[in-house]
Amino acid sequence: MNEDNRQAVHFAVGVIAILIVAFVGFNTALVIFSALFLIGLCLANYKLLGGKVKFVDKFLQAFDREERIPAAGAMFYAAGILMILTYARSIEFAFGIIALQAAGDAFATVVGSRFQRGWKLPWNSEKTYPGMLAFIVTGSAAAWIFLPFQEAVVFGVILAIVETLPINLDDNLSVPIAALILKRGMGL
Amino acid sequence: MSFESTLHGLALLPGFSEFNSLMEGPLFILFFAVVALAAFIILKKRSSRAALLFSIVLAVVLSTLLKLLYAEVRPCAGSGSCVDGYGFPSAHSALFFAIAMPMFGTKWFYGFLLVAVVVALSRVVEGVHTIPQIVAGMALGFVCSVIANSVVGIAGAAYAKINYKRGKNR
Repeated sequence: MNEDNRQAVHFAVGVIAILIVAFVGFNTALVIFSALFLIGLCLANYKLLGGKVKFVDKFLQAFDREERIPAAGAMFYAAGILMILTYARSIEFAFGIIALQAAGDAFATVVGSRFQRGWKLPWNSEKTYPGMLAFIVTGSAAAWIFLPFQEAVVFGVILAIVETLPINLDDNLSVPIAALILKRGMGL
Repeated sequence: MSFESTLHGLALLPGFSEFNSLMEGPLFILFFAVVALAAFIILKKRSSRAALLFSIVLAVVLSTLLKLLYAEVRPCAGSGSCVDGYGFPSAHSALFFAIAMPMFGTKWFYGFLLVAVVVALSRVVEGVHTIPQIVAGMALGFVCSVIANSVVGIAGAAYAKINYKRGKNR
């Protein structure tokens, strides 16, 4: 599966997560997400130990990048969603950040992969200016559905910078953690 | 009937009160120490052991700080049998997930994960935590182990680099 399709799945997962919380309620959604997260961890561990499960192998072939730990990105994404839902203390804020990350990250990758030469960020050679701009524009627009305009833009800009930082922490985790710290810092 | 009220019903199961006595006071410290020690012994690599210890320390520090920051009362607050302190996030949940996650990549992971899930759910059954509180603890435990793994990895690489340079200079 190419990177564009993978990012479409990334975007869809964020939208589905918001819809599940909206339709089944906060606590039930947390139980569902936690169960999926734990099952995912067990399957990833089983794969890492050399086990074979037909549907998991097909899923990984279709969606996973070639990484040392199977489905690592999906696990970090799920943990990030659980973090933001439980620690945000405001469902609108949690939805805003999930939407921001779902749209921002997906479009940043899609746009960024089309502008490689000459557009790279000085602090991270794997990221580009157009990708970062796409994160800000689409992420802020998605967050604006749930958050006031100024707040959506501020979070869009700062989280886009966080997403590009070359730190040894997956952006699916660093972005929600940074959003929570920023929210506390701003006293929101 | 909600999932949480279904869990509360499990408190009537035989053996639950005995299991729950492991969750508070000196018995909890002993139970926690046994599980942590078992994980430490099972992990053979020095870097994995360092990540486990750092993960536990991070979970203790961060869960304590976050409890003070969020200051969310427990669902049992006001009743005579309720334990002291704030409820968000669940430190029990965070600690046991912080132990289970470094076991990822071994067949023992399933056992430690099961212990963490049982400990977390028992807190809801007992009524000292809500579902969001234990899920927040689980997510915190996961993040602590990821950060610990990352820091130990960076430290290990730096240490290897220094050793390599020293070896070259000799």
